[in-house]
Amino acid sequence: MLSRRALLSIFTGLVFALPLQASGAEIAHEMGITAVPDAPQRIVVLEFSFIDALASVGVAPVGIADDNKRARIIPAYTDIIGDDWVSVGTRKTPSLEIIAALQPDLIIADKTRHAAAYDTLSEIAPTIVLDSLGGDYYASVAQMSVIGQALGKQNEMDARVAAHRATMAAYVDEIKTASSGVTAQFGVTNATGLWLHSPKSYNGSLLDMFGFSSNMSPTEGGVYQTNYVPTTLEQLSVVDPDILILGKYARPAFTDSWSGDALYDGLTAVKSGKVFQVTAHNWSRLRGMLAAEMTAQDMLEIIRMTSESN
Amino acid sequence: MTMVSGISRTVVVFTLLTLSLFGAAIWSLSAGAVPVSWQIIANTLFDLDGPRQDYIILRSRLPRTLLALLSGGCLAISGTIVQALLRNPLASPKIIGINSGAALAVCLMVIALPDLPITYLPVAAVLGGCLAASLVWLGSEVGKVSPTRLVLIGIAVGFLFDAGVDYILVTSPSFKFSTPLVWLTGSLWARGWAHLGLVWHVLLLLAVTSVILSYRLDLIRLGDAHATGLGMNVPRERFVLLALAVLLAAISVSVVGVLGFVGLMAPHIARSLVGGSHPVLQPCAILTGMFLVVLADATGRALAPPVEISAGILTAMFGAPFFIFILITTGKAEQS
Repeated sequence: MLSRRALLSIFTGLVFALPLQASGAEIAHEMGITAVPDAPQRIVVLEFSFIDALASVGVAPVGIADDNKRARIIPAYTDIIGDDWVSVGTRKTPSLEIIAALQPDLIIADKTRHAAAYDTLSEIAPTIVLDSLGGDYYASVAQMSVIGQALGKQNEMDARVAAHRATMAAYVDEIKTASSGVTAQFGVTNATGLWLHSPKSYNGSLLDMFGFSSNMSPTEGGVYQTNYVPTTLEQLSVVDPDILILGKYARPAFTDSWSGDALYDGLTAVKSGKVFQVTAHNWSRLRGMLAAEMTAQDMLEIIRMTSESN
Repeated sequence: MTMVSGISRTVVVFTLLTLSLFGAAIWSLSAGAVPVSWQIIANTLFDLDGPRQDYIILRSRLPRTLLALLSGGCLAISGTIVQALLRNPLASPKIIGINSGAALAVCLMVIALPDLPITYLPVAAVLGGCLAASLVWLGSEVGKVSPTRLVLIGIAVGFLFDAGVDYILVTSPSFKFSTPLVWLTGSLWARGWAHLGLVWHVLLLLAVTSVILSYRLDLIRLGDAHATGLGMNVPRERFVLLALAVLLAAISVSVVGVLGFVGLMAPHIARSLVGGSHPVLQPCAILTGMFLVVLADATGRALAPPVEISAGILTAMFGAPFFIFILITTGKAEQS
């Protein structure tokens, strides 16, 4: 039988946890308002875009939901945050025990994946929940400020965001020389299918910012219902973008089987040699400032290649 | 002589099952991504001096273990009742549409009410499970059909709801289903005292009522004519028992997800151990169901940390071979 004190500790655990975080900032997020300590030192992040935010201001997390594959944290990040983090498992179901054992003072979680575990995570440490997976580029930059505030590095983050905006504006200026009236479409393909990223998605909103238009048709009322649209060759032939950018998670990828098919060979992008490959992981899984700058760099190279071919 | 050996066999079976269950539950407290020694578990549980692991033991593994015990037991009761009522060994909570109904309701909730917090997932699951089961029951009432036909209606309703789930999963943004998909595979990830607090009293009440009423399953199993002859109001009893089975399964599924196979396996395993008399069978099935789910959840945590494997997957992986073994061996016994 459990002792009365052991039972009591279960219920009072929450109460005891509160005074530790009393002096910090109140952060408004997707699940409410959370008091976080001043300059948290032991941070656990459960989505890749939050690493981008931490790296932006030179903070290393103690735990990352890296899907148990350390290589998913690319050198651009590890150069800044080092290699000392502990894997807390998958982004889908991170190990709460490992998170607890790390004794974090801040957890940054994703709305779509972790809202259901918010109460449980909050028992471990102050938790803020942001919409990384479902949000577009502008939302991901807005989240940088929230994270900057939570880290107690508001000014540093503001400066980094301003620098990022300037960097992106320069990219946009250059890319816009070639993007006006041109349709561009990004999609990821694995061994079983192709998913186009709609204008509502993170990558879609970036392409839009770069001045490209999209042939993906919104539903009634002009709203794109979904971020990632499974697409057949027939549907792709309807979208028929001028530039097709593919991220391949498998080799050969599903789309590779299409080459030689009249419908595929008839695509505008295929005929004009404007099908480009980018790193699927960087484009599709990573979101944030560093990630967006890498995307812009890729896009600039694509533009240069298309102008050479013209 | 036979009766005495029957009783002593039952006593042995119950003792062994209880011991195994106790062992599995204790192991469940020690299994997981962070190694915790027996000494620390004892320190934490019994408030002894020395190093402790308050969060991992008291707030994570203990409530999960209790929830696994509770849901495993309740799903087993539900399965036993459904098998007896339908006089069909294939029957389980799944076959009267509960799992599919709960799954469809959860998917609909995510799509139609995207702003509703995901914490309402259990509510949607209970409603969906009950709705599907009511459809099956209504169908059988309207047509006054035999138990076999009721099973077929249940399968048809299940397919209908499954088609809805598939439609939603295929046509909707997959990223929105991150949480529901984990639930659909039957997982105790991130379950804690809050979830246990929501359901334990209701489930306990339903479970105790079901065990008390389990002797009536023996009468119903004799056939409607016999049971009526013995003074039983068969339609009423059947409705009450079915309602109990539906609520037990739907509420369990709402917290731990679709652990469907337990409801089918546990009664069969129990029947092979102690025979078909429900006052004995029912408690034995409960212990079996508890054992299966606790073992599956603990193994899911211990197998490949920090990755967690859903209990639903492991329940089937552990249970199915054992289940097949029992079917083969009891099949032989029936023939001989």
